[in-house]
Amino acid sequence: MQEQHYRPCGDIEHLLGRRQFMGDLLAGAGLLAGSSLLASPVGAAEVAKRGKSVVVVYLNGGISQFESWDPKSSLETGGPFKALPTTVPGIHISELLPHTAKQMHRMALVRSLNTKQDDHGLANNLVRSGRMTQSATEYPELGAVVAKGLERADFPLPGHIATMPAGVGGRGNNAAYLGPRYASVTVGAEKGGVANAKLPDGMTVTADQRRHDWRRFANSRFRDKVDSVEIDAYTQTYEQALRLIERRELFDITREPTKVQDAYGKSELGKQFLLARRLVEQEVPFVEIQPGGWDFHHNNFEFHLHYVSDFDKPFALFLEELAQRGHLDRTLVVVMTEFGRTPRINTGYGRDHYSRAWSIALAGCGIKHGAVIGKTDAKGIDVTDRQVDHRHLFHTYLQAIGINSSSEFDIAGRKFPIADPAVGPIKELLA
Amino acid sequence: MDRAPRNPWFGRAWSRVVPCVLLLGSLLLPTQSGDAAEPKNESRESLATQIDRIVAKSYRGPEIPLATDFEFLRRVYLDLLGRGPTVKETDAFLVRLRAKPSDSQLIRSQLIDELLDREEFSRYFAKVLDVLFTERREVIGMLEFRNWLRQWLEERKPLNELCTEILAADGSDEKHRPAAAFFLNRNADPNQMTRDVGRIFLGRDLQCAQCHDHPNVDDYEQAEYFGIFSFVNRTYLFTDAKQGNKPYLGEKAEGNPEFSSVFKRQAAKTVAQPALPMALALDSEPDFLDANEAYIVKPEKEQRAIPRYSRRQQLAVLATHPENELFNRNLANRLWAIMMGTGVVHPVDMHHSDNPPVSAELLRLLAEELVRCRYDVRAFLREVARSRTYQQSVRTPDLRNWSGPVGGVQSLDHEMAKLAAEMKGIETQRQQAELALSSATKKLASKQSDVAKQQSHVYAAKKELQELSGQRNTEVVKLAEIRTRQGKAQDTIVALQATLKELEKVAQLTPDEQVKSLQATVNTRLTTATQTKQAVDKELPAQEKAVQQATKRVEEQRSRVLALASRKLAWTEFVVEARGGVRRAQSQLLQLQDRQSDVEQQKLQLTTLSDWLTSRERLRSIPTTADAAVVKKQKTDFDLKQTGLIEKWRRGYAIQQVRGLNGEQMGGAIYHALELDQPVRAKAFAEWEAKHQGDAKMKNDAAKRESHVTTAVAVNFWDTLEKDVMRLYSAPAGAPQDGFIATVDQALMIQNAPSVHTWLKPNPGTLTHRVAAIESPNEVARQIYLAVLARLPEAEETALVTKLLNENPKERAAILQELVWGLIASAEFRFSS
Repeated sequence: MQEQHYRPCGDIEHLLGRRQFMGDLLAGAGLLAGSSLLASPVGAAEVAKRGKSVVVVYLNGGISQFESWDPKSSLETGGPFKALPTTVPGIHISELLPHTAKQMHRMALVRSLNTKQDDHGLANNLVRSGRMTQSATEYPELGAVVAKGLERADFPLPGHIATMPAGVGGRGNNAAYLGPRYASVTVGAEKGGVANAKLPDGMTVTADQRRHDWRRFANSRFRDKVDSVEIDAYTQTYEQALRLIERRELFDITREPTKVQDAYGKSELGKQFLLARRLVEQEVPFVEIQPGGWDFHHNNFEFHLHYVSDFDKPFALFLEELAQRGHLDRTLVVVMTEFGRTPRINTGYGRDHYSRAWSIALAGCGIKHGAVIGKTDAKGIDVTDRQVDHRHLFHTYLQAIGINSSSEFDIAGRKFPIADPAVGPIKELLA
Repeated sequence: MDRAPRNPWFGRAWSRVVPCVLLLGSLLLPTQSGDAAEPKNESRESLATQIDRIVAKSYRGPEIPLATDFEFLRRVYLDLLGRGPTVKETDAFLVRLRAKPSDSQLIRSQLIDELLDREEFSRYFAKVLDVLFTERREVIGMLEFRNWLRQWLEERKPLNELCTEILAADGSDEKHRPAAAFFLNRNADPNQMTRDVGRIFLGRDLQCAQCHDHPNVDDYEQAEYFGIFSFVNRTYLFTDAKQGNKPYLGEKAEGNPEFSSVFKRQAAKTVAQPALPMALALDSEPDFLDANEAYIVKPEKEQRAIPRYSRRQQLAVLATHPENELFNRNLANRLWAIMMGTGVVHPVDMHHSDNPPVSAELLRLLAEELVRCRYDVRAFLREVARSRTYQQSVRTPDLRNWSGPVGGVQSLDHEMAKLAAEMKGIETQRQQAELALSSATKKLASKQSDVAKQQSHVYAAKKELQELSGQRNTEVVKLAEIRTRQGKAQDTIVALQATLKELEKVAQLTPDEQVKSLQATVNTRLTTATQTKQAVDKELPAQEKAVQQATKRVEEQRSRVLALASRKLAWTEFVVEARGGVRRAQSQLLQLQDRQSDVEQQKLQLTTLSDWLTSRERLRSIPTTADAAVVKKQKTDFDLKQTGLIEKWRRGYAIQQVRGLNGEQMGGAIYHALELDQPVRAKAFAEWEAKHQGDAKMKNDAAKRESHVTTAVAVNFWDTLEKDVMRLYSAPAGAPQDGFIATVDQALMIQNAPSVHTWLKPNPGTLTHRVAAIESPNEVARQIYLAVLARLPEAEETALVTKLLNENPKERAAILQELVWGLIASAEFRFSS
């Protein structure tokens, strides 16, 4: 736990609140073992009552808005691809996204971003933290904020999961002052797993149980002597780890029917979407998919032809499945990137970094479906209507899942505004 | 460039600082030097005794026992060396205690001194200071910075000078380059620098004050933020392309930031003045005539700018000045928090009136004593560790048989009334102090406006000087042009004369018409050329005079600027004096605020105790026949009051807190508990013997040999374990590092990581190897409890160890590893108690 025992104001109410919170947290520990481990999908009505989730598809490098959400017919800047009508009359997106076009009635677009930062690393920090600062460590990222905001005492899985194509990873450094409890845990889609979730070589289940019994014995003796919520929080992490190990199969996409696996496809991105769907079904508060390589200074059109198509089909299927299984109403999906690409097509048929006028797409929970916020001019050079930036979006994401973004976190007596207090959400985008 | 503050007025060492009076005014603060009547002899109470007296004063509970010798031993090893004691060290301590049980307190004190004297202390405390300053950000290698800090600690140099060095260094002096890590690791971003100078050196988090006055904290104002900002905004990150983009700090000689609140759309911009809270400001800055004078090295694309007058180095001096009360309080509070778990002000970077110290008297004492011991970190920590307060038990006291404070609720009420009266008295004084401060501030503002007027004259004169210099340059150019023309005309004359001579020779040989006509033409040209030259010759004196006059005007204007500047400086003396008044008034006010806050804290203590007593009376007076729900309700109320009371006692340091180990301690504790250092020691020892085979003197030099062995162990510790464990158990880079962190991935690693199981494997010299050779289960239990938890096992614990070993004779090796693992994974190991 990041919180300390004491609040400087010395108010008994705070103490009480904290005790009760810790009590809830620890009570959850009793709900052990895999009773609902691979339970069958529940009815949509039941789902509606449950916790919210956020999925961010972060197209690392900067997808072109022209070849995705804001196609232009201008010969000079628009590129070779046509615009395609969607299920929402009047909204057109790039013809590279035929499957996504059929999901537009579940989506919304923001076409008027101006974020004034063209450096990958710094822009990445801005859009993820929703602040003007360029330091990566100063503010928690959306994932950490959501994991904290949607935290449930009895939840057995990590609240902030980042998927990667293969292998297993560690803990991300993205929770800043919220503390590592809310930092991302990286999970591989390929060989399904969390780091250190397998018993060490040669250790039997009996031996494992024996050592944990011995550990619990040692803890109980210590706990008799001293009273501290931190001690309880610590001993609890071992039990959480055991529950996570028991649920390892959740991260294994080969448990899905072959038909489903085939539908998502063999691409890395497809596998990550499938893993994300499994995690959303478990109500993990925040899941991020992070396909890299979207940075086409050369041959922009050829690359987008392949990359966008690889994205289009599994993304549309992901939305479709979430909707059918009743999870899209409780899940906000955001297709994010750090900036757009230049209207000017360079000599290598590429597009360079451009943060002056670009777009993102959203779907699912809490947003007005079929909405398009803002406009750019005919050549896509400037925003002509309703200019916004990452700070407004950050408020909007949080409001969409019911987190009051204008309130504050109180971390060990330090107060932190959840989102930049200088701005607010994009109200007309919220449902 | 030299790493010392390049300041015309300051030398590096404080002893040499004389003219700082110019900055600070004539204001030896009474609060800093303590009571004037203070006795100078040695009978003065030690800091430890004073701490205990202050803590005891506000505590009214049952007597709290000292920590047991085992508890104390592990606590003090963890706090001073970053690891638990080894079995040998514990045994040695026990032997000393048994020899003289009545001297237990003395033996504890001796142990504290011994630990502080070890090289290991410098090694560990360098890590603690590294985390304090960088908060785990890395640009300059962490190990380099830690080594530099270790060196500083080993040389026993004062901590405030360390802080001066860190703020002043620019990375160019190789020997002290790591000191620049503080700013370089923050990429010299001016906002980041401002925020962390405020947080880490002054204990004030001004982040929100960047864009407007702080919404939650009345004391933090935007002007304060920009006061610090204007010390550092001229500093920038310079990467040297010639050295593979190695980072340094450059600094410009100009740039005065302006600010206005984001909440006030039309607000006028204010120009910031370099200033620190509590009225420490740069009132007197040198005026340079031009860029040539302002820079030692001018800023160029591939050249690191070095100004003749550096604001950042002024900051280094001012921020760490022994008269800077906020600096002293912050540093003392942070050191205290390192030893005690929470600061007297907590969070440690939130010093402000809405977050009062749990005891202002204690905070003031710690700050003053830190100055008095000349910022000697060992002297300070020694006293804290020697205090009974530090050595108290963590156990929750049993209040069932405690009858409560003498006199009961009534006497508490009586005290409350006394406190209320006292508060009234202080309030009156405080109002007066506020008035005094406000009038001193007004006086300062008026003096400042005088200086501003003078400054504007200086600016105007400087501008005129620039114009005049321009004019002089024009005249000089004109003069040069005349001289060029003169030279050209002369050249023409010479050439024509030469031609004439040639023509004369020709004419003597062949006197014909053609030659004559040629001679005539040349003669005409010569006449014209001579006339031209004469005309130019006439122009010259006038232009020379013009240049002379222009130069004179420039010189005169220069003197005028200098005169105005020195006049401004004279006026500045009044500002400095007025600022001294503000400082005194502010200091006075702070003292009264401290007293008020202590009265408030005492009232809170009394109320909490009184509420508990009342609730207990109510619970006791419920008749046995009462409804179960009523009893339950009252019981809940009582439990709540009791928890609150005990928390309050802990917060007031009457009872010690259970503290989670930090990342470094966790690593050190695991490494030494498993005795992983033993094989490394043995190997390093053998190496030493072999290397100095022929040199008996060197071979038997115990100190040098031990240093060699310690270094080998430190390197091995880092490589095998520390670097991973440290990060796993710490907050991320850039976040506050004082929270307790428990995460699932820590547990997963300890349970299943292959590395952990490698550490547990028996290896000659290590714990699991050593106990494998011990037959008696009792002795096995004793050894593993001593090694891992630094205490003897209790009967029940020995019994379970025996049972597990006897039940599984075939799996003995595995069981031993499980036993050690279980204790490492236990909460008792994870916490210092």
